[in-house]
Amino acid sequence: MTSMRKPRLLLVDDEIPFVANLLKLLSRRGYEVSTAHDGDSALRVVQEREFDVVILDQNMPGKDGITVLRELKRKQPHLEVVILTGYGSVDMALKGFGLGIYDYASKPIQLGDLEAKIHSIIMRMGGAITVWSEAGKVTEFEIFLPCRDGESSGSEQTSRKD
Amino acid sequence: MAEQTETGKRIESRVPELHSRSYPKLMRRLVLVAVICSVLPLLLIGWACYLYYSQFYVSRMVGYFQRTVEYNRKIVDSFLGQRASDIQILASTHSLNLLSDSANLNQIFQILNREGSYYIDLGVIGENGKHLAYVGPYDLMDKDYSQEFWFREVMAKGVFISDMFLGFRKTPHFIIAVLGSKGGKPWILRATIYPEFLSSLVETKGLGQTGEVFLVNREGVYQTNPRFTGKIMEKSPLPVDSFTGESGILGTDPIAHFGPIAPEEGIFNIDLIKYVLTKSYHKEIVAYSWLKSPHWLLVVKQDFSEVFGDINRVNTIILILLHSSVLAILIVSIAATKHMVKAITKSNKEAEDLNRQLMHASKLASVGELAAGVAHEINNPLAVILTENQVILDLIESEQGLGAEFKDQLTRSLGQVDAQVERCSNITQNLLRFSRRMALPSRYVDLNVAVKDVVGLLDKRAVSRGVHISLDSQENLPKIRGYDFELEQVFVNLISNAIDAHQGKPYGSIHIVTRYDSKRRGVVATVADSGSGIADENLGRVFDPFYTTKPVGQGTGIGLSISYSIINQMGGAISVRSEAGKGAEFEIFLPCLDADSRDSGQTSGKDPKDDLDEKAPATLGG
Repeated sequence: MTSMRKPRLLLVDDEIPFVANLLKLLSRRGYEVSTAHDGDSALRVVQEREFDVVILDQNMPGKDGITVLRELKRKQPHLEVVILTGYGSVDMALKGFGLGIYDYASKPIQLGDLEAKIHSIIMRMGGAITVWSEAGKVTEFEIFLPCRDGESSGSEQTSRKD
Repeated sequence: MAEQTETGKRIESRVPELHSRSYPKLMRRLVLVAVICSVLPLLLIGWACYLYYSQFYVSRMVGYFQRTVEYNRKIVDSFLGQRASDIQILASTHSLNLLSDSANLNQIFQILNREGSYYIDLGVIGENGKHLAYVGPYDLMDKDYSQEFWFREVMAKGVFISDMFLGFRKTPHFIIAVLGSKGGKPWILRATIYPEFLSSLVETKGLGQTGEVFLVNREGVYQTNPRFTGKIMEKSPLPVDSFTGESGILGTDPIAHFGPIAPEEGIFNIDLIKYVLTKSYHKEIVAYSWLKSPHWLLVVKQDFSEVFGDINRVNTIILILLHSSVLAILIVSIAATKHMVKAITKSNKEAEDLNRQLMHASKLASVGELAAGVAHEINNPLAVILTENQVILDLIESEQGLGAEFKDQLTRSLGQVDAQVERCSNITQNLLRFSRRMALPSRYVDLNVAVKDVVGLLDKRAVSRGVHISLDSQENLPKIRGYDFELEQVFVNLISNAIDAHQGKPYGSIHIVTRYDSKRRGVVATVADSGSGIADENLGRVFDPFYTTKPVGQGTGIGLSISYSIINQMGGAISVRSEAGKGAEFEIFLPCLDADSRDSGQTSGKDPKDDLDEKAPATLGG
């Protein structure tokens, strides 16, 4: 079995309670989550560490989402980005898709919907998601990505049990 | 918002003033300008020409009369002068003895008449007043002239030209008598001249139908036969005393002369234009000149009506033309002004309508921006609430020590929070849709289908409120270009409003009609309800954003303004008619822009373009 690892997410949003809650919720669901509160710190974090998915807000102090997206994609073209914004518009969505985002969602979003988007990215990257359900309700799931070359297998199973 | 509404009202209240007051004022001003610029100069020039031409004509006619009278006077003067000198030469060159001989006298008479048959007879009269010799057609040898007026005159003066008189021969004639002194005793050489000759000297040529030339003596007795007003030797009605000076021109009134009149009433100095302008057809123009010897008056006379008839006719025509062209200008300028004012009124009204529409549109636009801002700002806290909710849910699930009932209640409450956030989210979505005005590609939409779908959707809700919905759709309506989803939203808004309007009533009805409007080339849908209606003061505001009469919490007040902007975007119009307490009727008009849309709507086969259009927006719109 190839070494597996947790998918690494970067949340970029200036709405601090929103980021804190998502950090809590997504960490518990088996992701390795980092956060940034503005575009510049997001770009810095991306330099330092590798990520699989970036969830990016549009309206932030300093650089806005589209600007950050442009720079991110220049540095790491394969990094998948989901724009999640309260200021959604078709125009912006189209612009985002033009710049190579994976998906676009507008706030407020149910956690399940956001997870679904992330899952589809993971699947595309060759990851594995195992779900246990009980009476139609998800009770437990595992989510892994294969390690890239030269990566330490910080593989650690995450599971959630009642 | 409030400011905009106020300006809107101010503008609207100014509008009727414009209509009622300033247009007649504008009209008066324009007509006045037209009159001043065209009629006044025309009248001035017209009258100036008229006066100038009249004056010119009158002075020309006066000149003509002066020339005629002078010409005739000279002829008469020279004729009489020559005849007098004939006789004088005869008397001074021949002796009484020679002349007393009838044969000699006859020979002289023949010589005198050789030049022209001026003389009737020739006689030599002795100092006793009896003929010594006589040549002529009358038997006058035994007549005694010593008591005759001319006999004494010639004895005293030497030469005498008499006025016309009858004498012994009882026919009008006049004589030239010369006192001869050769041979001791005084004697008289007397010649009688044909009076017809005098008449033939004065010409009436060039004086028209009413003109005449004649001679009168100092007492006003005709010395020649006038053409109309009498006969030789008769008294002329002319007041000879008034003819002062050597010559002159007067106007007379022949009717006035029949009565005993003061000269100033019948006679007036020619005041040129006055007579022409007064058109007094009974008046005459009289030119006169006094002869040197005898002291006779030569008169040239013609009716005013004939002299100035032509000019009067011409003047009348000119004046009629002038005034009728003034009238025409007035009529044309009034009509043109009326037309112009009408056009201005119309274009002003159109501008006002456009203004109102623009104002409404800009109101919508600025409200749209505001709505978008609000919606976006609300989205962020909503997202936080959702995640907080999820965190609590997670906690509940992982917490072991909770009672089942408590856990249940908490989960339900959190579910409710979720639902309410969802509801808020829907509101913001609506607001955003309203503000966004996305340029979705339009497709062919069947109005009947949209209406039917919405009625099906809302029928249950209506029935539960005791409201009956009836649908009366005209079949085979042409399809319109638009957005079916949005069109449905419009009907959802209208029909929901219509249902809500029955609040407090046990039952009611909603009547929906669709039809084709051939005049406006489009389809029309009307939604009429029997609800509470809209008060007059609110009627103008129903399409304003955030305007609602529903209780707080039951309406956002953007439904109708969203409808307005949707219909507007589709190139149509939405209007409302209502009376408080008697229900309201909304009318939607949507134009069929393509000429063949009616046909394409009727044919069963679909345009291939339709299918393409129908697929494309599905991914974007969803």
